Amino acid sequence: MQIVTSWMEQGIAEGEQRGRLEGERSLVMRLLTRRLGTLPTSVEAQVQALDLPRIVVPESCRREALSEALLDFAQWSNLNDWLQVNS
Amino acid sequence: MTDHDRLFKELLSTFFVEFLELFLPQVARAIEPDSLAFLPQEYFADLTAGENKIIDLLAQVRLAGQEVGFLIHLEAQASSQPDFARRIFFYFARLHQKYLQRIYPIVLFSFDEPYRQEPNRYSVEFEDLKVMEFNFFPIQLNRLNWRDFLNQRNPIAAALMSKMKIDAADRPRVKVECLRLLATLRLDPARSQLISGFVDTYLRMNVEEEQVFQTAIGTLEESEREGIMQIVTSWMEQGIAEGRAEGEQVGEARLVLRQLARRIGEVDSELRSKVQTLSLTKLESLGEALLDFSQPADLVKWLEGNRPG
Repeated sequence: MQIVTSWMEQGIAEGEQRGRLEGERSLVMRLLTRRLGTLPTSVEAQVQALDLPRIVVPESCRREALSEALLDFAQWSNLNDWLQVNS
Repeated sequence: MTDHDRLFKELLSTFFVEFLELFLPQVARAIEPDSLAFLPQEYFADLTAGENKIIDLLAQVRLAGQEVGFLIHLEAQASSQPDFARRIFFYFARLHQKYLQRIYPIVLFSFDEPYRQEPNRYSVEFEDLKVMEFNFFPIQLNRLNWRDFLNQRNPIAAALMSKMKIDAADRPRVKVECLRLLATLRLDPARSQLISGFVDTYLRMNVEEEQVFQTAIGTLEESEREGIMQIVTSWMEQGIAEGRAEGEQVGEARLVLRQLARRIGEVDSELRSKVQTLSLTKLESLGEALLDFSQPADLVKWLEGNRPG
């Protein structure tokens, strides 16, 4: 039988939080690629690094701002500009 | 069967020999451990209780070095009920009639209250004739002191201490002791989780208790502390894996909704809940599609073209 312990509940809560961040990040990466073409490794690393350290990220977090900003990106320089300001 | 019953049954069937060793060492010594076999579930129409009764555990054992065997009937009883001893006698009688073997009846009383001792005898007698007297072996957890089991190197002790008589103030301490004992037993992961899951189920800590629990763990010596942390961590990791998949979908939905708001204005609650239930794959394609959205109708159209299932 499946037992759900208090420790497992803590883990689920933590996992959900991690998963949410990962889900958002992977979608952002996907959309950036779609908008701008395949990301150079260095840029990808910069975007990935926005999530670290993996802690509770407030609603106003930069990466989320990126998720909205990217809607207006048309070229590489847009992303680079954004990263310059926000990294 | 309630979760409580299932949990007890799984515990007792997994550690049946250990159970005997702890509470009935004389029986444990007398039997051939390898001879233990559980018999299929017995269903009885229980007229007095108005329900179908399933015998909890019925084990066939053989006496050490002998051909002769007998049955052990173990019943876990989660509430105090009138005429309970009589019911156990009825079960005994039916099992006895069916198997024509000696039966050793054991009842594990697992309720928190009442504290008074449960009767364990049923008899039929007249002034001039004692027709019969039936006894079972009772184990009433709420009348046992957990301190007496601290040093029993036995997984059943580690689990059942959590259901013994415990002063409210001692709850965090007992949880630590159960896990400490469990950690020293070095069981395989599945068995270890059965015990720790049992303990956590019956010793859920509130916020203050959790603090006392954590502090108490901190004062243990390193090897014990690590053993307990390993148990706790394995549960946490299981939870994280489960939560992660769920969270990813929630995260992507949240992001897509924010982007939609920016693209086509605030999404009404009906569309919002449709987006929130999309699968991960669908969310990703919606994320890409919305780059070309310019009005709410685009979303409605996309959702129509991507109905679940």
